[in-house]
Amino acid sequence: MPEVQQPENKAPVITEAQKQEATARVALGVTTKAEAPVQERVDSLSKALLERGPGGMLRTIIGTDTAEKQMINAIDKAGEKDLSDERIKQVSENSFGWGTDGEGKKILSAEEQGRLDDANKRIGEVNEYLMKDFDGLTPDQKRRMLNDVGRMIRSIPALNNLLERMPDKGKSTIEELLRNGEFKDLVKNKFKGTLDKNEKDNKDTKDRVVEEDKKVKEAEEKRAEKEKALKEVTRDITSVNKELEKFALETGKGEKGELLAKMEQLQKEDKVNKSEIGKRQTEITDLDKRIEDLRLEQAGGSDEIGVDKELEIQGLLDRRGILEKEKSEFVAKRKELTDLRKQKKDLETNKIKLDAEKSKLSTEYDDAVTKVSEAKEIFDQEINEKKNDEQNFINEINRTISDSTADYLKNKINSIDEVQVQQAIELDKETKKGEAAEGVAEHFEKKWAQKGAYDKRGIFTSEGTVRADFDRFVQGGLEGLFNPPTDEQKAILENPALKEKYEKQLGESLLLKRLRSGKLSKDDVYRLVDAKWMGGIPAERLKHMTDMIENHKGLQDMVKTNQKAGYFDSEFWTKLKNADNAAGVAAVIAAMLAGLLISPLGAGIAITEVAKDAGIIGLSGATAGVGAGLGMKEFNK
Amino acid sequence: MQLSQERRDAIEKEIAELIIKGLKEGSLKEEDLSPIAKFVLEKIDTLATEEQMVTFLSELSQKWSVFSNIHNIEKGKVMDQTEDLAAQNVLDLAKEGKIDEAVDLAKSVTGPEVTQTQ
Repeated sequence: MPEVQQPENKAPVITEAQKQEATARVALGVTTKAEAPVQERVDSLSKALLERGPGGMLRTIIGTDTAEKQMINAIDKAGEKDLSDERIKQVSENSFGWGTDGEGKKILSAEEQGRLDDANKRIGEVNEYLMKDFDGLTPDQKRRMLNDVGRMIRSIPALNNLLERMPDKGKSTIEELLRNGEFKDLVKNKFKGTLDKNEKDNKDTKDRVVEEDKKVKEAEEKRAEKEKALKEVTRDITSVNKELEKFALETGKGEKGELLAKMEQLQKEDKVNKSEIGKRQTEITDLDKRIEDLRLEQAGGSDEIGVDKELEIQGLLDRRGILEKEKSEFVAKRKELTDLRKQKKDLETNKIKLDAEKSKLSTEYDDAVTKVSEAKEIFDQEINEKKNDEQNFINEINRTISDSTADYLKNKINSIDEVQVQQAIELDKETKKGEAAEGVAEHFEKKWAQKGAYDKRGIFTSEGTVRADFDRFVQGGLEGLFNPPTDEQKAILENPALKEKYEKQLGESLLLKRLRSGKLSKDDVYRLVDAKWMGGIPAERLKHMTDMIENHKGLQDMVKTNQKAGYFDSEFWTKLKNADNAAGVAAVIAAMLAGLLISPLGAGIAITEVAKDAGIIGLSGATAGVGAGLGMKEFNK
Repeated sequence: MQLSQERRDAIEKEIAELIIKGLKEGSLKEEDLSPIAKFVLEKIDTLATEEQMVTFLSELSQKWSVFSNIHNIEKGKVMDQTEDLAAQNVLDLAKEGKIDEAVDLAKSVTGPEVTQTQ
């Protein structure tokens, strides 16, 4: 084997791109094999197995341990507000709407009900994720969660680039994140924080809305009072104006007001009326004097004189009466004038007063209207703030997963140090080497499993390529097979672990195909003894097996013509193909060889002996089963 | 042969351990776990006999090859027990001079699988 030149000991140059990719890998936990988060899962299952037994562990996997989880949720938060279903429901329902009916029962507008329904849907999903884990969700719920996480991851260019480069692993990486305990704790804390904050904020906003609503109602009442008073005073003014119109110089009809006309007429006549009253009063006074004189004369005179005087007196009284009547008519006219003047003055005074009152009430009414408008504006602001708070609550719940993802990634990225970056770079190199090596193995497998290699009986026929590679491999191991080696093949040869792995894998594959071709000879088996990759079956045991074949009567023919009809059923080759792995190959070799030793009575014993010789421990019965299951009929001696 | 609760529990435990091992080694993925758990939980308590257990393990190993070993081991145990019983009966028959019957019984130990038609 040619010596492999050791590379010079130089520190590898790490590019910025490599650093970014390594950071992204560490942040997303994209590693090989059983490292976190797979290790976390392994640990949690192991713990579940220990604490709850196998049945409990299985139930944990499918998330049916909800009763236990709820109990854990309920008891692990002493002194803090919990995440019980009851509390969540209470916070959610109290967060929306503010109005109540006459009996104090909450009422929601259609819009508010819509927001509540949106919130409940998303709250339910987040809560189910926390209770049942990711695997317990419905397909739709899983899809939404994956989208939320994926969107956030992809918003970071370095992480997006990494996912783009590994499309097959992208979805599983995101799923692993959702199964990660640390991530789930972040979601739980964020969810709880959103509920707690919303519970407080929403109460404050709701109280303000109720308060402002009360103020609007009070302002409305005051406005109504002023409006009523204004209407009344306006009505009074109208009434006064109607009366004043009677004193108007020109009414609406273009005429002088009736009372003004009357008053003016009386005014014109007033001097005369006064004079007439004076005259009559003078005359009445004179008559009164004359009557008095006559009375005196009547009293001092004879009866006859008395009768005459009485007649005169009566005449004077009659005259007096007429004068009084006439006088009263003039007095009445003068009084009417006075009354009219007073009426007009009173009306004018009242109007001034009413106008002033109206003016005051108008101002007060305008103020009340303004106050109503202001109160409504403030109320509308508070209602909008409430609506925004409700929508913000919904938005925060909707963002729970994506925000938790952002926090998780931020924490991860900020905590990554140079050592981890270096480790990730090295691990990536190893992974790439492994992937390249797998590519090499695949190339050979395809080459050996050529189209048409199996005939309709299921027997491998295209043996030439396998034979050549088998010979090269037996002579020179992997160096013989990879000659001349490609760069990827060199990488395998230079890596002891990879070399050992593929020596065994490709060697066993070649052996199996050689077996199928029916051309595996005793010499091939002896040469295989020297091959390093046959470590599973000790050399001396293999030799013993081949000697047994040689010494058993009729078995030489069987080895040469193992395709002979009647000894293998139609499923044989299928079963043989399905045994194409390390343990299966060992079992196939033993069963193939041991099965040839089946005799009428000694079946169990012979198989057990061969299997033990082959070092296949504990599979005595299984080997019989496999061998027999391969459909080998008894070989009749 | 009747299946004891002890045996059932032991096998369930082995399955659980294989799940953890498979996950660790990468031969099982996270998305395999839930279907495996459901399959096992649905069937394991309904098994009444050893033979039914072997059939169950056969189905399990066909779906997920990580369980092939446990299937083979348990199958072998069942076959061992069957063979042990048959061997004793063969000897008994041979002692009584019933050679033909003894030969037939011995053949019948692997009879059903061996006589598969092509």
